[in-house]
Amino acid sequence: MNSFFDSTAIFSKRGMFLALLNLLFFGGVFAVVTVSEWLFPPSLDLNVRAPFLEAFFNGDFYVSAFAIFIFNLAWSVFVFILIPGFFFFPLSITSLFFRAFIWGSLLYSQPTWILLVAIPTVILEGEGCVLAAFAGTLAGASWVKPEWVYCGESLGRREAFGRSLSECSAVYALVIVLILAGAVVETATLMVI
Amino acid sequence: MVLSLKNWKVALLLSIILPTSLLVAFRLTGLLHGALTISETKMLESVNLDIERPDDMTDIKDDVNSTYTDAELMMGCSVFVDDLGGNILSMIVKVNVSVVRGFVGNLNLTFWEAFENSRLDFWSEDYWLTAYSHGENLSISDHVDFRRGSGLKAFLELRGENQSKRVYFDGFVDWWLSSPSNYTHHMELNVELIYFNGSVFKKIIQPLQLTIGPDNNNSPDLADSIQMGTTYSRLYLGVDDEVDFYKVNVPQGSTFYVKADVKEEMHPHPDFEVLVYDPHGNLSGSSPHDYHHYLQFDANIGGEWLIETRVYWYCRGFYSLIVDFT
Repeated sequence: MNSFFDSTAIFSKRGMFLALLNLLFFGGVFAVVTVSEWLFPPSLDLNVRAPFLEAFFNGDFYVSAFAIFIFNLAWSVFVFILIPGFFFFPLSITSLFFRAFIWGSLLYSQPTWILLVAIPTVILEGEGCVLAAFAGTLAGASWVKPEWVYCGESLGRREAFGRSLSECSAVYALVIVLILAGAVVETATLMVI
Repeated sequence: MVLSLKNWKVALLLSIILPTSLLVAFRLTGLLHGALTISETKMLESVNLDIERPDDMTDIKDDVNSTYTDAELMMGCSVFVDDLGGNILSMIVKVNVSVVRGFVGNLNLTFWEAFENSRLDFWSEDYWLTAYSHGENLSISDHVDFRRGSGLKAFLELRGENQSKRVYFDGFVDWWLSSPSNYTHHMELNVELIYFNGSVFKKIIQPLQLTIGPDNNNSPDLADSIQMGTTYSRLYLGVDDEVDFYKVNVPQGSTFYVKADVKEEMHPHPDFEVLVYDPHGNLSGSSPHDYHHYLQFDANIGGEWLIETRVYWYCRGFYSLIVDFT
């Protein structure tokens, strides 16, 4: 609960930046879907589903949900979005947009009914990715230019980075909750599809 | 402070809700339609070709074809059976499609036969569409031939190029019968067309059936019934099938003729004789060994007249037969 309040405080200071990242992700998904449909006219859905769905979905709901949760948390969010930002903060944003591109590319080629059932998953997992990119950018920028992240506070690079890491952990707790909820919803969605 | 807190929360919510709502709204209103599904599948009536099976290398040069037309498209399909040689039936498959609106999406050919030992060979398919086969506005997306076992023997998946309204395909196909000459084969070729009519995708399937097997009319008791005035072609005589019998109902008092011919451009063509018996079984007339026969009779007895065709020593090939009133 403390983490939630901690993260609310973190967001309130940088709320507009978070809103901008959200716009980048969800607007990106929308833009990729629209542009893809314009550039590549609709192909016929011959009811062939991607094999990676089968790999995750072995019939057991809990095992599948857990596998999706671990994969998304460890690979899609932690390794792919959060960690790169620590080293070079624009990488988190780039990875976030790439994630939006992947979602958009996957969704554009789906029939409408699949897109509609996938929307809750997109929102939950997408918001998890946005928060991870937010945390990654924060931590990465903190040691490059501490005054960008903590303006008005004269902090050294090491001090700013240490503080951003503690803020990151609070944000990441929220990311875990969102990715877990997303994995449960995604598993249920895959059952429907 | 309260205002700014509200502001970022509102902005946060809008940044999620606005793009997502737009995406859903665009999809639901049809501004974006995503992948389309086949909204209608139509199975057309099968067309058939029965061929008497030759016992050695013989020209057949016959075809089965169908033409389907409606307000949205014209589809013509044919299988030309060229000849039988070495137990292999050489064929050419042709498909021609024009759609009025929209475009041709896919054209799939599947070949099915229950007999396990036979094979379907797309002859030199590696060069198809560049040599040994022709295509217009099509590309090959997948193909498999020479499949063993019962069921699907071969398939060819063609993709429409450049959203074209017209596509054409022809290619050589060899049917390796791999069976004794007294075996009867049945093969079904399904021509499956997927097209976009401007608003939805539709599928049309045209089955073409080929049967090849020996005749059974080798004695008077097993004579095939024929109708006056109908020309029967693709009748075979050969080493393993020296004689055919036909029966025809002739009313008393009528005058009729029996005409039997070969096409001399076909190789080989049989030298054969024709014998005609009245309903009492008496020989009424005959025509000696030749390629062309014409016999005329006054039917003083009404009933079933019997016609016998008998091939000359080691000759073989196809002939045609007609019985009609003069």
